[in-house]
Amino acid sequence: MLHKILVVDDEEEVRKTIRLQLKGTGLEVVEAEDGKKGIEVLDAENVITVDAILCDVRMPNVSGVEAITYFRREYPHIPVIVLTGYPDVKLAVDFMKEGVFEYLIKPVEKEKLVEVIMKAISQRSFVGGSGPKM
Amino acid sequence: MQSKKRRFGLSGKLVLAILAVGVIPLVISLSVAYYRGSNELQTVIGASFQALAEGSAAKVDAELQRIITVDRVLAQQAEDDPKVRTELLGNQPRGKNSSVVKFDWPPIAQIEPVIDALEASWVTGPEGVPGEVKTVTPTTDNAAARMTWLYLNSATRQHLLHISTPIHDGKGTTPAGWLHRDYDVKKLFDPIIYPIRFGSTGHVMLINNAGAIISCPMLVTGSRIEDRALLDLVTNNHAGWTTAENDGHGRRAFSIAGYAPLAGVNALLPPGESWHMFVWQDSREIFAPAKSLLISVMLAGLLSLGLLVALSYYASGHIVKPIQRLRREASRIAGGDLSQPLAIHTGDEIEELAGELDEMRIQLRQHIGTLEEKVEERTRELRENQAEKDRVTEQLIQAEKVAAIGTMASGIGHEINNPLYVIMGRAEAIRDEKDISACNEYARDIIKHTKHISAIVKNLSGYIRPASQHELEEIDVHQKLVEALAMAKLTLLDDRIEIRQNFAPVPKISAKPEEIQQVFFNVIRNGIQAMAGKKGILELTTTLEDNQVCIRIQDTGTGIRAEHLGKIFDPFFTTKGPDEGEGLGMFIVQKIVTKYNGLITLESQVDKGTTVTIRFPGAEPISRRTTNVT
Repeated sequence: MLHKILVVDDEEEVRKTIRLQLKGTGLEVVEAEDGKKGIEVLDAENVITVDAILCDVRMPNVSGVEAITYFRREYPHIPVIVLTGYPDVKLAVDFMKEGVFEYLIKPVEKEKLVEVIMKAISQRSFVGGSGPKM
Repeated sequence: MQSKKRRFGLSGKLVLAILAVGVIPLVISLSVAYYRGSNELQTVIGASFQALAEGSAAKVDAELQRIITVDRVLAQQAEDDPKVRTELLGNQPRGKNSSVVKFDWPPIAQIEPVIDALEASWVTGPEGVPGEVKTVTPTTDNAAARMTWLYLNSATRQHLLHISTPIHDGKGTTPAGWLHRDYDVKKLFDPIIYPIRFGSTGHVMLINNAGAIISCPMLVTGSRIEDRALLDLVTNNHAGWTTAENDGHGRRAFSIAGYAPLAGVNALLPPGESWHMFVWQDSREIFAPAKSLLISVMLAGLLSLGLLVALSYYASGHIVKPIQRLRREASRIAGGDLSQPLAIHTGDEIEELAGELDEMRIQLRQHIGTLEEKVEERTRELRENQAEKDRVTEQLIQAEKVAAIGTMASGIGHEINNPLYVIMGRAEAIRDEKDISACNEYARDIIKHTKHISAIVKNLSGYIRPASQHELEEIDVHQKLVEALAMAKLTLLDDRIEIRQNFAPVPKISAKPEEIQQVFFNVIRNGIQAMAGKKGILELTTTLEDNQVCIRIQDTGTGIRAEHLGKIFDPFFTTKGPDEGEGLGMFIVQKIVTKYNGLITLESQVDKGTTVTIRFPGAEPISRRTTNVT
C-alpha cells in the first residue's frame, strides 16, 4: 500500500536525504520548502491524500511551529512528525502537547524514520480515519 | 616658589641701615663742627679786627695829639712874638675890628718840616676866623684847642683839617687870639692808615660818625658810607666788632667789621661829632678760611661716607653671605635633594638656624622614606587590585560568552544536526546503493557537509576561546559582523528576519577579535530576539565619522521601555526569559567597547525598534597606542 508523506523542510539537502531514506519503502514523498508551501499543498483543491506530515521547525516565512499548529488544527487526522536539528526538550514537550506524533532529532537513522512514519500511519485510523478534508 | 619679587636684598637693607646709623651723626657732627668752627673763626677775626681798629685809632690819636701839642707850643710862641702882639694883642682895646685881623704866622720858613701836611697857618683875633673859612667858630670860653672838620679847599681840591689853638696874652682866661692851622688830611693820615694792610683786601679806614671817609686806601676822602645801619653798628663810643650784611665798600655781602672810636680826637671835636676807626676786609677773603674749612669738612664727610659705604658693604656681605648660602641650601632641600647635610659654620645664629634646618631635613628624609614605602605598598596593592579586577572582568566576559552559548545550544544543535543528518542519510544510501557513480555523489555530499560542520565548530570555538590568550589584531569589522550575525541567528527558531547590510569602506580597528565578535553577537542577538516570532528587519550599517569607525545595528523589534533604558548597561539586568540570557550581555558590551576607547549609544522606541551605535577609533600602529589593554 502506497502512502504519501508531506515533507516540509527548507533545505533541499535534507529533503533529498529524506527521499533517499524513504526510497523503496513504499512511502511517497511530497515536498514543500517551507511552512507556507506545506499549508498550500494541503489546502489545495484536488489535494492528494497525505498520510503523514514530516515537518522541520526552523524555516523562513511560516516556521514549523506555526505550520504544525495549523496542521493540527485544520487536519487533526494527519499525524505530524517533527524532524528537527533542535535538541530542545521544551520545544519537544510543546509539540507533543499539540498532538505531534513524534519529535525526532536529526540525524535520524533510516530504519528509525521509516518505523516512526509507519507507526504514525498505522495509528492514524484510530485517531480519525482517512480521507481528505472536506 | 618666589611669588613675590624681592625689591631690596638683605645686603642692601643692611647697607642702608648702617648708612642711616652712620650718616646722620656724621652730618650732625660735621655741621656742628662747621658751625662752631665758622663761629669761632668769626670771633677770632672780629677780635683781631677790633684790636687792629683800636691800634689804628691810637696811632691816629697820637698823631693828632702830636700836632695839637706842636700847635700849642706855637700858640705860646705867638704870644711872645712882637708882631703878633702888635697886630693882635696890642690892638687895644680889643674890639669888634680885631676880629678881622688876620695874617699868616709863623713865617713859612719857621714851619717845622716834620709836618709836611701843613697847608696854611695864620693867626686871628679873638673873634674868630676869616669868613671864607667855613669852620665852626671856636668858642671863647675854653682855652683848649679846637679841631674843626674838614673843608674842601676849592682852589686846590684838598680836604683840609682845621685846628684852632687859643693864644693867651696872660690876662684872664679869654684867648687874645687864635692860631689857625690847616692840614691836608691825606698827607696827615694816609701815611698812618695806608700801611695798615692785611691780606690782599684788608685795611683800616678813618670815618666820622656821619659816614664821611676821612682816610681810606680804597675810597676817596670825602665820599660817604650811606648805610645808616652799618654806621650805627660801627660808630659806637667803644671799640668792638660786628657782622653786617654790607661791607661798607659798595657790596652787599656778609662781612665782619672791627671798629674803635678815636678817644683823643673826639674830645676835641664839637659835640655830636666823632671820629672812628673802621677795619674792613673783603668778605670773600675773610671767609676764605671758613670756605676752606667747609670744603675740608665736606671732604672729610664724603671720605667718611665712602668709608662707611665700603665698610657697610663689607659687613653686610659678611652677614648676608651665610644667609644666601642658607637660602641656597634650603632651596636645594625644597628641590628634593635631602642627601647632603647643611654645613654652615659661622659660629652665630645663622649656624644655629642651619642646624635647625638640617634637623628638619633629616626628619623630612625619614618621613619621605616612610611615605615612599607607603606609596609603593599602596601602588602595589592597587596594581594587584587592578589585576584582580581585570582578571574578574576577563572571567566575567568569558562567563557571559559561555552563558550565551547556552542560549544558542538549540541553534547550534540545529546547525550541526542538519548536515549530520544529511551525512547519515548519504552513508545509509551508500550502504544500500549498488550504483558506484551514485555512491560517489553521496560521498561528495558527505565531505561537503562534514566541512560545513567543521566550519561551524571552528566559528564557535573561535568565539568561545578566552580572549586573554590573544594579542591585539587589526580587525575587519565587517567580517566580525557577519560572523556574529551567523551565530546570533542560531538562537532563532524561525528565519523570517530580513538582513540588510550597508557597509561603507572603513579602516580596521585594533582589538582582540573574540571580544569584538562578542560585542557584535550580543547586540545582534538582542536585536534578533526583539523581533522573534515576527517579521523584521535587522540593518547593519558601517560608516566612517570623524575618523571613527561607526557601527549601527538597528532592529525593528519590540523596543525598550523608557524606564529600562537607564539600566540597559547594568549587570544582571534583563527583560528576557530565564532561558534567554543572564542579563550580562550589554554590560559586557559596554565594558569591551570602553576598553578600546570606544563609545556605545542606544536609541529605542517601544514597538518601533532599537538602534545601537558603536564607535571605535580607527586603528593606529599598535606601538603608538596608549590604551591600557590587558
